[in-house]
Amino acid sequence: MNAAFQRLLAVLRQPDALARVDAAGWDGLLRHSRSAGLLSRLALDARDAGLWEALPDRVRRHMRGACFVADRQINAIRWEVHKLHEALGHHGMPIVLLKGAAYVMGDLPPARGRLFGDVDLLLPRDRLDEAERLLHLYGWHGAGLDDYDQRYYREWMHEIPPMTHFSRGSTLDVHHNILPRTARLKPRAETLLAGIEPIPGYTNLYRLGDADLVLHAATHLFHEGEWGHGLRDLVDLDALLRHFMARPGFLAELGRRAAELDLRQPLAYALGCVRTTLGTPLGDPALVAELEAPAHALVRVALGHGFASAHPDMASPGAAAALLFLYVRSHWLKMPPHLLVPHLLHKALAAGEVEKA
Amino acid sequence: MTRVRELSDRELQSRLARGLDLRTGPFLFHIRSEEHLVFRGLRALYGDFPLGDEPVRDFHVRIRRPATVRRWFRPQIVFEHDRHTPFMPLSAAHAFASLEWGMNWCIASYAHHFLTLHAAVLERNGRAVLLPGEPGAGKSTLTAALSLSGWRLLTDETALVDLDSGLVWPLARPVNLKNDSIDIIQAFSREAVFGDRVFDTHKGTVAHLKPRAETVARMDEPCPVGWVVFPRWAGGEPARLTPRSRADTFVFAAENSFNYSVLGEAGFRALEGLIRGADCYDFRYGKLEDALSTFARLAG
Amino acid sequence: MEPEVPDPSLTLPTRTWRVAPAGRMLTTLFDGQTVVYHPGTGHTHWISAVAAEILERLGGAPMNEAELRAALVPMIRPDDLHMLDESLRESLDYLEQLTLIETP
Repeated sequence: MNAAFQRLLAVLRQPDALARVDAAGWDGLLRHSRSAGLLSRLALDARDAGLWEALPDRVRRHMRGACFVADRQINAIRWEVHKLHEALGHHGMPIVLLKGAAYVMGDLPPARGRLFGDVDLLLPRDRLDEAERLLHLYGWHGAGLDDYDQRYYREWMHEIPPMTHFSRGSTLDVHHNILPRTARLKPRAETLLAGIEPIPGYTNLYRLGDADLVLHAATHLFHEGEWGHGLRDLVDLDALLRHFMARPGFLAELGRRAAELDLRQPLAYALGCVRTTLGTPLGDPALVAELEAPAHALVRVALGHGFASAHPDMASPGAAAALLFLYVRSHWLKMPPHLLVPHLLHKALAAGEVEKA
Repeated sequence: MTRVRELSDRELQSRLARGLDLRTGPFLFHIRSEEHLVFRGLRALYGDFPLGDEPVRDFHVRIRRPATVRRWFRPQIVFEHDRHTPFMPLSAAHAFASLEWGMNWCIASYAHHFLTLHAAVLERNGRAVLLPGEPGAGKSTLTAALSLSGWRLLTDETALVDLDSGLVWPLARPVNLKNDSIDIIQAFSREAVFGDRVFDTHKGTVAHLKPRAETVARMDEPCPVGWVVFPRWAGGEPARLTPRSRADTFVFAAENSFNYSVLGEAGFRALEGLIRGADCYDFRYGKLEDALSTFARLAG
Repeated sequence: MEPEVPDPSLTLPTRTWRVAPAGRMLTTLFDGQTVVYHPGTGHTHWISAVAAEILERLGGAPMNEAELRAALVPMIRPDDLHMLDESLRESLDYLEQLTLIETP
């Protein structure tokens, strides 16, 4: 493993290791953690570990800036959820928050120092038309997609095309499941919806159940095609697991739930990756081995390259091939071949046209 | 402390090829380029700047040729920050200008330990005047003229407001002038030293004015803001300074900040302190000389 | 002549308002003019004295429009009292448009 990547993993695993990074090491660590979207998280770790004052001045300054950005984003997410709730929840539509928004509104550890992108929701499939109509009334509109992309979303995906709010400019992804309809694994949305947890202080606002949160994060990671956020997603998983593992029997619950949702394979990779990459304590080794059994060693190696791809300095030999493998694999998992080949061809040709123009 | 001018041409070139650590105000830039125009620009404009000697740099930037067939035919360059390329390639003739714009972009995108405002700042007698940038208002010309008339230049377009003290920190970098302004300033002062003129950029013809030695020598001295002045060149009109509402100035400065929206409460508090301590004015002028005497009276 | 049918919008019960639950709203006063920071949107606005007073009152607890009007009467000069309703209406509209206030 590349030395720069190893250093980043070392401080993510064990914040005390921040004290052992020398000034020359910080020159790289500052850039690599920023590129991975983890600078604010390291800043909070350094503060909590009592190492804030010992940091090199320039590092501390950039970390301070990163914390302002992270705090501001949490406020922005809370506000966005409030406005979404006004548009949907007030009209009796149950909203299930996914990923970042769920961590923030559910006061869960991954929200700490995290940077956020879009807000993701899960809604009952049979109420999507109603939801889209309500969102239009409250100022969200669909992105200007071409006919191919519109059809791609509507026919094959587990979400409707992304929506943007006309005045806030925020982006919203509305899902009706956590995997595309064409994917090889078939989690049932009804099973997920049956296990949701309410967000305190709101009506009609929920997040996935504890185990399902982990499984969704695992599924997302396992099906990822673009790896810019891979390491951050793994850090989310680590934080969720460390939090929920405090409850006896959680690992067994996770295994049961993975079986119910047809997500044993993503769970296997997720557990293997957090354990080997971030040292997440998972408890009972026999049960861990059983849950990790469906994972392929080769894929796990490729995933390792994926996590390192947040910055070119962290890449090891073979990374390019591994990333191409992950890209093709992510599509392979989401689409049967008779759909996949035409889709990739369409994307390649469209990209070619842009380059020529 | 070594300054750029102490390096021989060959030393400067070889440092640039490996990466030159250049300090400008609170920032340490690691600059890498084998472009001759980048070397020429630094030689002409950055002679008084100190080299860095700390292992941690704020920004790692590079001007390089993109890996395409255009390498030899109508050559292009691309700006790279920390191995990412945020912009499309430009003509190789714009290599140095791209470095300047790229450095501004780094500060605007990542220096969130400051409130960064789109404004020029100059100091006299221990107080600074902040000139917010309304495009086409003639801010750069006025800034350049003031910097050659007894005012110390802190920055020509990115004001760094300290989030704790509310003081403005200097960048002390060259003033970016466009089109007619270049000739106006050349005619205005014999002391004006320019780098290469670059034609046909997206901003027209561009040249950079070398900051005076005193400006660079004092680049670690922050300064409180005494005045916020919105300049507007209006041909044929006499110079006129009229008070402007602080509340309105606050909202304008917030909307024209690079990072107010990401700083949240910290940005609000810093701007609040700055505006409270400053007198705010609109300023219209027809002649540069009139503007300079108005500013001289302002500074007392 | 038939009895006049009242416009339904005029017979709506008086609306109750609250400050939007967006986090800590920040305000500052410059020479009698108020600037307010909305922690949800991240935007900053310059608002009128009446709007600032409304925001301040609602900061305590939600109020309906009749209560707001009664609270504002003592701060208005008797000669200007006829303008209060219009000013209250405009200020509430503006604050709502900025999403600084909302109806619960």
